[in-house]
Amino acid sequence: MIRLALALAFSLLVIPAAHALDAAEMFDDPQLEARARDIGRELRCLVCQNESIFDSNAGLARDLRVLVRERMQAGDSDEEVVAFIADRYGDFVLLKPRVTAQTYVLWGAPAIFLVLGTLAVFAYHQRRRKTAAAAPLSDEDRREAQRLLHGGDA
Amino acid sequence: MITELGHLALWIALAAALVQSIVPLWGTRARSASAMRVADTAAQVQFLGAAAAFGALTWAYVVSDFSLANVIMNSHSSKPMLYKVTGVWANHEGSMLLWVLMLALFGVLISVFGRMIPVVMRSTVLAVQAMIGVGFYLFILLTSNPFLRVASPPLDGQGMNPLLQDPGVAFHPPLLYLGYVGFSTAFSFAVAALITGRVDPAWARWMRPWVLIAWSGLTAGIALGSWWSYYELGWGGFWFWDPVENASFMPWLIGTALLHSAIVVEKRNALLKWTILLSILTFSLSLIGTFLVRSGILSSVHAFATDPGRGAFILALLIIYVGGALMLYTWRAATIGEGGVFSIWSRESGLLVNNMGLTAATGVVFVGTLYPLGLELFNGAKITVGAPYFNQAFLPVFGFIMFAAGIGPFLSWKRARPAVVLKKTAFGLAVTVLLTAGVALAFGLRDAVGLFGLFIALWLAVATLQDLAARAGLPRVSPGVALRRIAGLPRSAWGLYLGHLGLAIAAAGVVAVSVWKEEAIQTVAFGTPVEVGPYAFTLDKVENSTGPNYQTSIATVTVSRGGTTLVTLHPERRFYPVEGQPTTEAGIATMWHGDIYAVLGDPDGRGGFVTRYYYNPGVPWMWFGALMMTLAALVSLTDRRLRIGAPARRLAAQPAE
Amino acid sequence: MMFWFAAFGLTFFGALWIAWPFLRKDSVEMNDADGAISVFRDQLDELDRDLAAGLISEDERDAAAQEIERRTLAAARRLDAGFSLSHRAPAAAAAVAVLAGTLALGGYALFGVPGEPDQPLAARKTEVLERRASAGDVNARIALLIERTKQSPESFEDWWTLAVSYASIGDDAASVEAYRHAAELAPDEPGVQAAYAEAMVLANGNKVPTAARIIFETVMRKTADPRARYYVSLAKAQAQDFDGALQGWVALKDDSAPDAPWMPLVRRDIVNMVRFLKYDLTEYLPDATEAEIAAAGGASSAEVAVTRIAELEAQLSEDPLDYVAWIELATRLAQSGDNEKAATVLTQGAAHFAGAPFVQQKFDDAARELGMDILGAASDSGAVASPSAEDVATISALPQAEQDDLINGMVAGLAAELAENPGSPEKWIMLVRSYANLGEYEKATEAYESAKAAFAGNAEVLDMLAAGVADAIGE
Repeated sequence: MIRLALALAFSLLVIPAAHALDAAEMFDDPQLEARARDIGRELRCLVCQNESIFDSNAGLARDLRVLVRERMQAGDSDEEVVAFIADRYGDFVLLKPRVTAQTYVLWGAPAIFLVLGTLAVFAYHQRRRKTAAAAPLSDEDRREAQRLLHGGDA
Repeated sequence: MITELGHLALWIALAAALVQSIVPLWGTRARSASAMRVADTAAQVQFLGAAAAFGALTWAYVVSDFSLANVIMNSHSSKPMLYKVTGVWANHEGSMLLWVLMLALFGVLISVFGRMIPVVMRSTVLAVQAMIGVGFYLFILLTSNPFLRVASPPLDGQGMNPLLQDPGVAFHPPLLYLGYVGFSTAFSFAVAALITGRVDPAWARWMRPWVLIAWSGLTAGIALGSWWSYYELGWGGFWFWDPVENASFMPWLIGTALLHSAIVVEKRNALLKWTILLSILTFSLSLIGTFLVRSGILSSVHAFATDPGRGAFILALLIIYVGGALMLYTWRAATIGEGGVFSIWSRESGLLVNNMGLTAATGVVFVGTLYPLGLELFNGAKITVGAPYFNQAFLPVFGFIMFAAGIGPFLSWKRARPAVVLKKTAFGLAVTVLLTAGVALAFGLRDAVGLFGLFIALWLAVATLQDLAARAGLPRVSPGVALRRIAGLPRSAWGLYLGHLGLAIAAAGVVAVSVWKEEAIQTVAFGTPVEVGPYAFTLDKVENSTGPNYQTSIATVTVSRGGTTLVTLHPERRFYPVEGQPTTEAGIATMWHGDIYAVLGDPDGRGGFVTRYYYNPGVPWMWFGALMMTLAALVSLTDRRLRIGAPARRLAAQPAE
Repeated sequence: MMFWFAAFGLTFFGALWIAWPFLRKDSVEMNDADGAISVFRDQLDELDRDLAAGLISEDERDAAAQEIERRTLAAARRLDAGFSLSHRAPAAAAAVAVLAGTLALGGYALFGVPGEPDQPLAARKTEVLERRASAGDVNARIALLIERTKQSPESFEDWWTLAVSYASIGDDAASVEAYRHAAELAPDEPGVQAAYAEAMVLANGNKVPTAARIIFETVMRKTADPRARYYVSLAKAQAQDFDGALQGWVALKDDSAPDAPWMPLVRRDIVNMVRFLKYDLTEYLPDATEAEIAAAGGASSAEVAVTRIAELEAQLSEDPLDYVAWIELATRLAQSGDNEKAATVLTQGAAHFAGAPFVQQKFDDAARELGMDILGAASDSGAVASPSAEDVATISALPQAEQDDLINGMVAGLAAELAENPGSPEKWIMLVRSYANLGEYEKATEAYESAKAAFAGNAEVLDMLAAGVADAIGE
């Protein structure tokens, strides 16, 4: 029994430490820290699926967070830090892709879809306007319809 | 024997689906009532077969039968019973089985509750439904069979991802599938309409309940998944624009469009072709979602290659179903006329704008999700499209949709008077501007983007209530009369108001938490308070304990405001020895305006702990809004007009031939 | 057979049910427009309601009504065109049923494992236990034996093996129970009776209960069983009859071969008795070694002992986490004749290592070595310090200071254990991480170095160590 209890006590001591954001790597200045987090949210953790380095617990994400802070310490602006990291790790690291020739379509997508949609709506109205309104029903037809709708008592 | 009979039952379901997809269609040509009725009996057998197979697999999980490879990979004898059961669908094979079970369930429900649908239409719908089934039964049986046995069963299984051992995520897949698969009915109705050449308001009304159920399930499923990631992943996020999330969001967006365009068909016999196309697209996006998630192609192109059998199979199904339906559409659409005409200023036109906006929004999500994949296939460049892109590209489009959703109900059918509409809009806008300014001053809010978002959410709420008041006759009639009128509104009108209000509330919540969230991440010693916004968090103690299959450290965090203790939170950090994984359980206290949220991190080895504290305003509003939208669809479903045409009325209406 | 019966039955009824419409009597299914028309009728009603509520004007109502009428006509004219007949068509029914049935059974036969029984874990209990037992898991063997003794409670063999297995995992209470069954089945076997009585002694904290003493005396009357003789003497000693015990053990020693397995025990007890009675050891143990003479209180080294005792006391007040020193102190106190104080020292020392079973064992051994368990004062030296399972489970509920003590003791105990048996890399990792967690980074690094030294040349273990401690000591 005592062994079991001890095994438990020890295993709790040895839960592997994850590399979540911890105080050691943080700036004391809250403004600087807020900037670091904003930058962190725009950079991708390379080994995770779609997680930013700010959110990730992976070791590599921690390394990148530390790198961001080092660059900021060295006096880089936000853009310079992001550019520095993108140069080293490629565009893959940017959660918000840069506007380049190969992302024109991506960034243009909302405008393209909205414009196409608006055109389609107007085209629809244009075309429908040309269709003549259906001729009014003859009295005989109306009577038959009434009979169908109200059963035998129409 | 139970598991083997379950396996056999799945083959019986396949056989039934095969018969169901061929014989009734032949019956509609040969005018054989017997052959058409086979659609009903085959749908019943198919459902019983799929249910028996699912039951047998569940049984294997419950009794920990480790002679099934699927149980070995995904269960463990020490798991609590609840998670043994939910483990059935927490893996690829089991979730696909749940998928076909849902498909068969919708089939049998159509056959039971669709008696008022003329037999030709009903049997054609069921035949199409079964065609989808055949492909997925084959997919399961040939590439993802959960009933595969192993020669020498091991002593225990490998467990299940502890992140999934949670009540929130346990019921997320069934609801999500209710939505995904529910849209198969719209697809079947659309294809049946193309085959029979018959689309009219009655058709839209027969289809509507199924779309409502599917949409309701998908809404709840997405909200549940979001809720789960909010409290389980431990950093207070609720939506990550992850490809897997987008895969469920796209059918929701386009399904919302379908929900609205079907109203136009039902009321005005217009937008027929467009509605059929939307039905096909909605289910196609569900299938694409399934493909994206199941093939692993999104995490990396190479993941697809590691298991090409499954990915290629689903891709083939996707091409057959989507391609086939679209080809049928281009071939047959010309035979479908367009009914009622309407002017630019009309409810129809408003719904068309809604459709255009939602389709554009779907398009943005689609492009954003698949762009990296396409670019890599095209020229090998690797880029990432993450949350910042979607926030910038998607949210403006969605804001436009919400703005339009406020105006839509002001428009009357066929031809609205622009002056009336403009007057109502101007009044609503004025109220909204005043309210927004009031809120901004009262709470000292500055952030421009946040205020704009708040404005849009408030606008939708104000406009919806304004329309409700007008519908009740206010201010012309006395409040008593107005109340009686409101109570007498048809359930579908309630669906509109509840749904739009729910959206407004959820949107306000999203805006609030995105812009005004407060967070603090730090290492704390016991007893030292940390300020987060107006709240002070104090870590009092951390105790070790054990759960059924995990060990846990439970913290006690006291939260106070202005010196008064508000609440005590108990965030946990669990460790699951079988799987060797830690999980976090956030401590959350919900107030009407927001959540207080605490996460326990690792000990720093010097007596302190890393902690993350948050004040998340608006989060309860998101869940409440999502719940309202889910209920809105269900309320709409109970509208009496959806039951019209039941066989009981036939005698009274029997015309002389 | 049973399986195929069920499989065919299931398939047959499934196929039959699918084909059932082909077997029903003639009936007509109208392809009628009633469904559609009743929908339109409802729409018309709704228009009238809207009109009544003042939501639409008379003109709007009329225009909408005309649209509905148009739809109604279209539906009636287009859809009323025909009706479908249902015929009894046994051939079609058979074709559909056979096709469906063959596909289902054929597909299953190709991919399934027909007749393979279910293997729920509960039904595999025996198999699981056997596999574990044959892999050396004593607990599994015990579970198996419990099953077996339940099935055949008359089997002496099973009870005996069960008793021995229990004894081997230290569950003395359960062992007694099993021995009792064995003893009842073999009432005339002195060996079995003596084993039963011995188990009773062990379960009773090594004190001979009266029942056991009676059994031993009965056995002794029948045969000269050394075990019975030993324990009868032990009983005397525990009753503070040191003279009687001494005589019994000396007699046992004289009757036994010098290399009999129980001789070290007997000699130790003789030494302790002599020390308690302040006799001359050589009278009772002519071949006593020098160590034995010293242990029996031989005065030769008394001078040295006094200085060493002072030295040890000083050292332990500085650093109480050195169990070897504690035991040496107790031993020297006993040798100098202060049995009472020796017992107290052992109790004090053990209290510092509450959570370390390895060290607790060392203290218990020392107490037994010195005969402290016989002296009334020291009767429970071991038991005091071992916290019960509940105590440890609620470690966290203890005040911080006590919790720290407990953890320090646990870690020190782990270190002591590894110093003696360095063979477990997992325990080394645990030690390094524990030190790191306690903030003792020097010791952590030191322990890591020792671990590396212990496994020098074993690359695999070294990798494992490095991985295990990486984030603890930052290497």
